[in-house]
Amino acid sequence: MMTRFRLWANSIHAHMLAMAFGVMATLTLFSLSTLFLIHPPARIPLSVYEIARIVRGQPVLRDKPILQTRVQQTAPRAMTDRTEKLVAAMLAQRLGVAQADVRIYLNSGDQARFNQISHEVALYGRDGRADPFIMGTFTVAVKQPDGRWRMVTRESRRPDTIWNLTGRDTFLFSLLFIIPVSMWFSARLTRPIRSFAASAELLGAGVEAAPVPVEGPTEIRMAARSINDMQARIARFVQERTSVVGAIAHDLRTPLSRLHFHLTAAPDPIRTAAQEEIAQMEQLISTTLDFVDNESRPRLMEPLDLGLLVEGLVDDFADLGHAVTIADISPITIHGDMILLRRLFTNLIDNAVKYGDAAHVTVRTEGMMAVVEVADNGPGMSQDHLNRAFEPFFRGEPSRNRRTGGVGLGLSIVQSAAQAHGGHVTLATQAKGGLRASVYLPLPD
Amino acid sequence: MPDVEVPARPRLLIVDDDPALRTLIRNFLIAQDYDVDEAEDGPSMRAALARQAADIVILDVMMPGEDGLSLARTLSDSADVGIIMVSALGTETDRIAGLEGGADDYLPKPVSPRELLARIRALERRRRPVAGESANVTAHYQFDGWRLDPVRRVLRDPGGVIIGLSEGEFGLLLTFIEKPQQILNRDLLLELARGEDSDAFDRAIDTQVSRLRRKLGTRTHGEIIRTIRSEGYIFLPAVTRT
Repeated sequence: MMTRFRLWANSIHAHMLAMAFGVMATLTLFSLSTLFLIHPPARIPLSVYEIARIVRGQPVLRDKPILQTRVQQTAPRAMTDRTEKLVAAMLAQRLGVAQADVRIYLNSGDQARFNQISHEVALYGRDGRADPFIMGTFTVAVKQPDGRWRMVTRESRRPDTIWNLTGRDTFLFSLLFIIPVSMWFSARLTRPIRSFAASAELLGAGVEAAPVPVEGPTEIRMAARSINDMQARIARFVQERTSVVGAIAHDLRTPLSRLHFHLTAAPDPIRTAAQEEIAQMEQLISTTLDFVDNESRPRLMEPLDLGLLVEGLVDDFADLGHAVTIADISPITIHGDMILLRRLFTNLIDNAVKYGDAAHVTVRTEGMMAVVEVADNGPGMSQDHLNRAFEPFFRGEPSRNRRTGGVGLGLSIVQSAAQAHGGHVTLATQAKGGLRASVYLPLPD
Repeated sequence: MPDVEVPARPRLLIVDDDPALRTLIRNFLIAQDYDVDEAEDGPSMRAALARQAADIVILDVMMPGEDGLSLARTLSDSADVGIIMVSALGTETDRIAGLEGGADDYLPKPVSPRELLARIRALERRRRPVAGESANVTAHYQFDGWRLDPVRRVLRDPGGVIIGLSEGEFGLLLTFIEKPQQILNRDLLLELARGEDSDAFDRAIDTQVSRLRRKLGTRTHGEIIRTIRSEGYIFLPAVTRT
């Protein structure tokens, strides 16, 4: 029961729920904080009578108003609005001072109510009952006996606190708070998914790849386990195939060895002809073994000089009397499996020599790739054949004659070797005739 | 070319699970003036060796029961005997496993009589204690920061980068490394380096040397192979075995 809960608690499902809950809780907390921590704006209406009390320094019934008082030498600006003048006149009457000694400045919010105030004064003023309310911020200026002006400002709002800002900009604040948290959270959640994807990607490169680590959320662990099981099955399958092909090779090569020894007693012409047959059968066997070995052998990636590796192979062919030339050898160091790469280029040069009478090899870099091209003087290939050239057991020339005989695995081996290095191969018939194989291998970062 | 300095006829032991092939090889080698014994598996091989020691064991890799690789390991640990491994797999991996497992030489099947004889003779030459030191094929060599693994046939420059050489150049370099700091004339070089793959070595030795020198020169500044006019070549760096 406990383990099942732990598995659930570690799942993406649970994490997503927790995330949603967390966001909801955070937003609710923000909303609640506005309720408890934020001072609402003091938009309490004050009547002219109350304003007179405030100016005189007497208390008023409701909340203590937020006041700022200062005294200045110069007279404040003259009132321009008719309603302000009306209110100032009433206030002067309440305070018992001359009308010219009292000024009031209302806020823009109250300006919308100027008409109403004017109407009230017009309607009740005759009875001496007019006592209009002023909302929000206003400033009253009263001239003192010493000629200075006393200015009293009622603020409708307390000075801004962090909570006021928070309350006003809940959306912004929750963005600032929730976004980093959710970014951290989703990074945490997706990191194992990304590393899982990366490990799974590596599996494509070869069966000997390390198993995908079983870590992270439950779902990823489950996927990693099944992919590892699958990988083990594939490895077993490849292993079985290798041993089957190995067994066949053994069973063929032992009689071929016997044949060699039987032939010592044969007359020369028969022996030579038969040895040629043996050599051809041996070539079929070794190509098939190479094809299998390409996939099952653990790769050994080491820094190597691609130019010199290719040049060494070209020299081997040239030493055997084949028309193989190399040009443009730049010193390019790549990470590669020496055996696989030798097999790759040997097959390409061998093909060029067999089907195209000669091989012209170039080694260069192109962007982030090392490019090795092997061109020949042969007839090239038709588009249909080019499309199928990399298929195992496909042969461009189906006659299977002695000189060009092969199983049709050479180019498949070339392709799988290039792909094992994260590269690729293209084949094209050149404009001036002949086939050109281009091998692209990534340069190290 | 008769081997005049060999007093006794060398004794060979063929270990292979295929009786027909065993008999064929045996008859062929007896005709070549060798004393030949045969065994079909590990236990009978040990019994045969207990009866009479052999100079060279020709060992098949794929055998029922204990395979050739593990037999080679026990053989090379206990007895001073040359081992030629014969394998039906014939892949590079298999060859390296065989040589690192203690075999002195490795032959892929199908074995031709000519090839087998050449390998036996080459191994006899190597085993003759003239050089004063036993040729340990699994040793790695170092010179001027370069490293050479003769089993995997890998040459690394002082920066650890693998430098590809042709078969001929590699054989030549191996010859130089086994006899460093002494003048080697062309005939001797041809004789020593020719060894196994004589086909690939038809090009003149001077061409091979200049190619080898140029390839080594792409990765190092110091002089490695010096031409001694009208005498031959000398490999200058000191060589250490590891």
